[in-house]
Order: sequence, then C-alpha cells, then structure tokens
Amino acid sequence: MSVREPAPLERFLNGILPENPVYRQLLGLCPTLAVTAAMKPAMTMVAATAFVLICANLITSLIRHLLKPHLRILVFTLTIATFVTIADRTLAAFAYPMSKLLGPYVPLIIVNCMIISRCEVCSSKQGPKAALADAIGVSLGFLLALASVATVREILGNGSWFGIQLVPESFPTLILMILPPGAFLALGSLLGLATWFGHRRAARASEPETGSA
Amino acid sequence: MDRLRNSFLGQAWLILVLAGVFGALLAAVHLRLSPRIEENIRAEIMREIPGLLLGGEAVEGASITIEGELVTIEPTSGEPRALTIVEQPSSTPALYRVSEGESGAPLGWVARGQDHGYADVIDLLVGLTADTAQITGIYVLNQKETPALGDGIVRSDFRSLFVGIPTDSPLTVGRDAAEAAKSPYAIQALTGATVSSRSVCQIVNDTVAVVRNEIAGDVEDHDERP
Repeated sequence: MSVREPAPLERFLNGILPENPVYRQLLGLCPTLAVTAAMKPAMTMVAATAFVLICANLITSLIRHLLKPHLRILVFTLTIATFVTIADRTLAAFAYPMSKLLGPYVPLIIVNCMIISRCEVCSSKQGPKAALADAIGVSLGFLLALASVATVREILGNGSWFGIQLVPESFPTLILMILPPGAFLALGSLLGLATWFGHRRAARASEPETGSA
Repeated sequence: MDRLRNSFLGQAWLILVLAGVFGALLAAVHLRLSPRIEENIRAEIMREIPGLLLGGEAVEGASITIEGELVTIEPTSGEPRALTIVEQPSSTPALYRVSEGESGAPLGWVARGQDHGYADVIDLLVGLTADTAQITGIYVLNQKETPALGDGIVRSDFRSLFVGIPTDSPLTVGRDAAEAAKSPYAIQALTGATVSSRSVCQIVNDTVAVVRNEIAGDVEDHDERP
C-alpha cells in the first residue's frame, strides 16, 4: 500500500504554521536563539537558510530516483554544504559587516536539522514542484519564527525595530533581552503562547462534536 | 551485473559525480567573489590600523576616510589626523608600515598573522611600536571559535590584555588571574576557552618573531648600502 504524499499547496501551507519548523517541530533552534537580538541579522539568516533550503530541496528532488537509501544522508549533506558555502561567500562579498556579525552561524546552517529533515521527508520522495513549495513554505515558517523572536527581543532590549528607534532613548529598556538569556526567555514565552493558541483552537474545533454527542 | 552494482564505483558514482559538479561550482564562485572579499578585508584592515597604533580612545566615534594609502581620522573633538599606511612588498605575513602624515615620522608596524584556533583559522592583526619593542594592540579579523566561549577573543577586554607588552620574550598563557600575574608576558586565558587564548598568543608570538626578523633584515640592508 503506497502512502499518499501531500500535494504542493498542502506542503506549502503546512510549512508555515501547522508544521512550523521552530514552533511545532523545535528545529533550527540554534540560529533562533543566536541571531535574534535584532531584526537585521535575523532576516539575513532567514534569507541564507531559505536559499540553501530551496536549492537543496530542488537538487535532491531532481536526483531522488538515483539515491541509494544507505548513502542518502551523505548526498543531502554534500548538497547542503555546497550551498551554505555559496551563501557564506556571497555574504562576505556583498554584505561584509553582516557576514562578520553572523560569524560562525552561517557555516552552521550545514547542521541545521530543519534543512536535512525537509530533504528526508519531502524532496527525496516528491517531485521538484512539491519540493519547491515545501522549501518556500518552511522558509516562510522560519521567517515567521525568527521575526517574532527578534521583534520581541529588539523592541524590549533596544527600543528599536530594524534599527529604527521606536521608543525614546530615555525610555528604560531591558538589556537582558538582547543578551543570550533574553533569547531563551523570548523563545520560551512565544513557544508557550503558540502551544496555548494551538490547544485552544483544537478545543474549539472539537466543541460542536462534543456538544452533539 | 550484480558485481558491478555492488562495487565501490557502482555504489558511490552519484557522490563522486556530485562532488565533481559541486567542486566546480564552488571554484567558479570563489573565482568570481574572492577579489571582492579581499577588497572588503583590505578596507577593514585600513580602518582598524589607526586604532591599533593610536589606541581605541583616539579613534572612538571618529570618521575614518581611506584614500589609497592615506587614512584620515576626524575625531568628534580635536584636530584631524592623517596616517600613511604602506603594505611592504613581498612580506609574509602581510606587513604594513604606518607613519604620521604623508611622509612623517614612523608610528609603528601592523602585521597580519593566522593559524589554527580551536574550531578554525584565527586571522589576526598585531600592532607594534616603530622599534617593534612593544605590542600596541591586536584585532581579530576572522574567527569561527565556539560561540559564547572561544569567540570571546574578539572582545575588547581580552584584546586589551596585549597592549603594552614587551616583545623581547614570547607570551605565555595563565589559566587564571593569579597565574597570569606572575609574569609580565602572561595573558589570562578566557574562561572555558584556554585553547583559543593559547592560539591567539601563539599567533602573536609567531607574527612578532617574523616581523622582527624581517625589519632587522631591512635595517641591515640599508646599513650595508654605501
């Protein structure tokens, strides 16, 4: 019996919220915690990760019939490492200060489980259309997650958003939020909130069935 | 047929082909982007050299303009200052001679040194006085040490430990403040990052040794001329 694989649109939508890599699958937490002190580095990380994810998903999907089961992880890693190196060099050439700011976190995209999991779950089993839709959906989910954490941290810790001062500089800010503990506090609170909303929606959806029973 | 399929090539051909294709792709990217990256690094070196020789306070908040070998520093208060930075030809490591104004008194030397750290290569700039007798400062151009541990080598409090240390003896690493206080050549290691701290000291020692030899050679060459 063959398992029905989700359609491209389903893959796209699943990646944004129902299977959000950070809030639902708890994947890609290293960059989520490390580069979200401000929006600019967070969005650069999202762009680099999205580029790698889209390229890796497409390549893996195109060669999926040639993959040998026991060598597939090696092929995924080789593909991901290539595109991470291209992203890293491109940043160093065209956004040098940002490349210096992100430091080792761009090369660390190679070990981001979010990307290898998409190669394993989707692109090694489905065609390029579904693989591309999946990569874009998951990238948007990752964007949503990093943007939410970075927004909370930058506004509370710096009083700014994308470097634009939102509150007067005399206004007290929580410096802790732009320090490493602030990343855990912000992510933990937002994860709790996302889970609470998820449970509430599920409870509301099941209410009519319970009522009729 | 089965024998071919189960052979090394039969199993690994896809990986070998991908490695070849991806290798060629990376080579093309490198050829295309490396001149631009080198230019970015050169601009960063020129921007950081004044701070290494004049001290961080002298350039804090200052506007720095680079025009070829001439670097102009316009502080928020006080007179603007110009430095001439000349890269010494065919020197390894890269060595910069810095002097006041367009052809003024020599201010010092800055050399670029690199070696392996804990995670990857650490790329440093080491500033020296004009007589190479003292270290004026260090700056980390590139590193990929462990976040929150080894990457502390870029922090100004760690880098300031090197300022003013004489170069007549190699630097050593003290595991704690008490051990570091025993010698004027000892640098206190970063907590949890002794390997990174030791690597930085080793790079500084190697760079200073090479620069002192190179400059001494230059001086002898000049002395021998009629």
